[in-house]
Amino acid sequence: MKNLKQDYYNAAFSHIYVEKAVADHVRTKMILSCFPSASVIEIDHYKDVFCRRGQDCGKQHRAQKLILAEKKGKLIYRGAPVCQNFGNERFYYTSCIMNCIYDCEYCYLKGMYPSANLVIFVNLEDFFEEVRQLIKRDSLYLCVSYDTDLIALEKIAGYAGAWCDFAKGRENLKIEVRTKCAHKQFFGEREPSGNVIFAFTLSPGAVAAAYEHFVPPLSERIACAAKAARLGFLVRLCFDPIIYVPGWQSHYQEMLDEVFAAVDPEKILDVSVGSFRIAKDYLKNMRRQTPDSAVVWFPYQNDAGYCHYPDELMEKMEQYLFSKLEQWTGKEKIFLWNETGKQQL
Amino acid sequence: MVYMITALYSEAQIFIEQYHLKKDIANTKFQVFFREEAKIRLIVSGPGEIAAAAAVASLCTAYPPSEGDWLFHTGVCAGPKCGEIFLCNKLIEQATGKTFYPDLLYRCGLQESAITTESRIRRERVEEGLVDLEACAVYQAGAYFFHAHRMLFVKIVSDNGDPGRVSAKQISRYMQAHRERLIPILSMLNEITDQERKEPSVQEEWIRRLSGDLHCSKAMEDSLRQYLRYACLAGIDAAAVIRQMYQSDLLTCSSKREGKRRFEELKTRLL
Repeated sequence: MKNLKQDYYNAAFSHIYVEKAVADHVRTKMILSCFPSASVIEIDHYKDVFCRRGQDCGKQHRAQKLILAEKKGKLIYRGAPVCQNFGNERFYYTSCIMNCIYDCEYCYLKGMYPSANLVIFVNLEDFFEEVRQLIKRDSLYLCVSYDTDLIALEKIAGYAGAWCDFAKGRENLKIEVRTKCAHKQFFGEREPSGNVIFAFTLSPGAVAAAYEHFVPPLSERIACAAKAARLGFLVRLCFDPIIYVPGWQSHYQEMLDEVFAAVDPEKILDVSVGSFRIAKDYLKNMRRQTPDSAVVWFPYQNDAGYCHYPDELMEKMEQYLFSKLEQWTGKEKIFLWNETGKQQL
Repeated sequence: MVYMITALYSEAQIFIEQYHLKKDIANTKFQVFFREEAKIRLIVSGPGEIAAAAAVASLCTAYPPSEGDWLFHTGVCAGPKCGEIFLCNKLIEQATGKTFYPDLLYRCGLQESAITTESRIRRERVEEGLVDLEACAVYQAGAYFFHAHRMLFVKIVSDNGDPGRVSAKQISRYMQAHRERLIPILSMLNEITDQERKEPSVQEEWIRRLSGDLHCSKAMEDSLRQYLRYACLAGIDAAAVIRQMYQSDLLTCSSKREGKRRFEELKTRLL
């Protein structure tokens, strides 16, 4: 697909599918106003478009569509065992937006969802209400940007800011906003908060160039994380997933040098390390969708339904990063993912 | 290859003439026209949903489409804007209330509209959108053979609830009037197919030879294929690694045990 003339494709969000039920929602109108030339198509339910048969996620990323819908039923879920919980017992996540404008070949979303189109659930207040109920009982650690990149979509949806505002003053709620974005302005416009963690996922330039499409360059992502840390935001650096590329040691070393030349290790909350791992079924879907992606076709080892790098390589990569990071941050700040559940070394 | 379906011969005529399509006399149930060099296979279904679904199924079963092929449905329909051409972005089946959405990834440069497929010819005025007799059936049958983004529905409005006044000649004229739009779309579809990357093929003869020399079990052979595929995609020169190992006499093994050991070494060298 990489040599296909760009001009055959429609522009991103050239078509916006809107559920009838939310056509008059204030947030629907606000989002639609960002795309005055888009064709708006009325739909009954977002799954009519999102779950239709025979979609090609790889190609859809070249001409992504937007779906505006209402999420019903359960809105907050327990975190999956393959996700790092950073020592938090009540670890939950939510998907107020499904899918991402970035196109990372190794992203599990490609295996999890039947479509690469972006769904924005406009009833954000319902998500807030469910969180209110959950935190009545106990404290909650909630990841709000797992199945998307909220900050990358801030200009369209404004959800990252809305979650920050919601978290303000709620001491038994801690939220994590994960991003590959370099939206420095976002941090310039708001006050740091003690219960909102901004997790910046970073990959070496070689990995980004090969597998992360439409993602800002590493230097900008680092600069953004550095600015956020400098301003007093809680910043987490995620070297997860570590992706194998030939000569990976030197690529990761180079990246760490670049990161810590800009980011003061004292100013970051913690660091997460984990090599690429994925549910077997997701990988199967991804392989069907992307027959020409090296990262997807790596000969992973399958252990009890989860695919990961062969043990020796996995350990080597994680230990390499751990030992290098230890020199900068000390080991107490490093969370290393492993399948036994013992996450912090 | 573009698999085309029209309900009437008069809707197909401009394509038959433009691409010098030949009639496939082997097909006695439907009129089928094709020319390999033009990469077009066209079937005339006759009007109505059942005819359209049967025609798509018949054509695609006789000539199974591959990943890069397209299903292109065109013809006339009813609607308020007589003579205009539309790309359908939403297909509504009147009988069931079901809706279908072709995945509009590619730019056709046409105005868009929803279309309702009805089971009888519309005799009343159409106030909004388009009305036809086949689109939903073509989509539903086509979905067994094509991806959602590989199906295109382009319709030309010939009447507004007064189909009796439209003759075959007039239909041909409506189609002719949009020749300059329809033909470039077909060319674009075939160009896209030509430009899309093909699945990299790991050299089977390498795999067969290595599998024999390493005394591979089925599982080992699958793993070998996986490693070679990854190497090919990652730009690793697997051939050089294998050649070097053959030159050092490391791959012609005398036992399964030795084969396993050498295979582990090959994997390490490939990564």
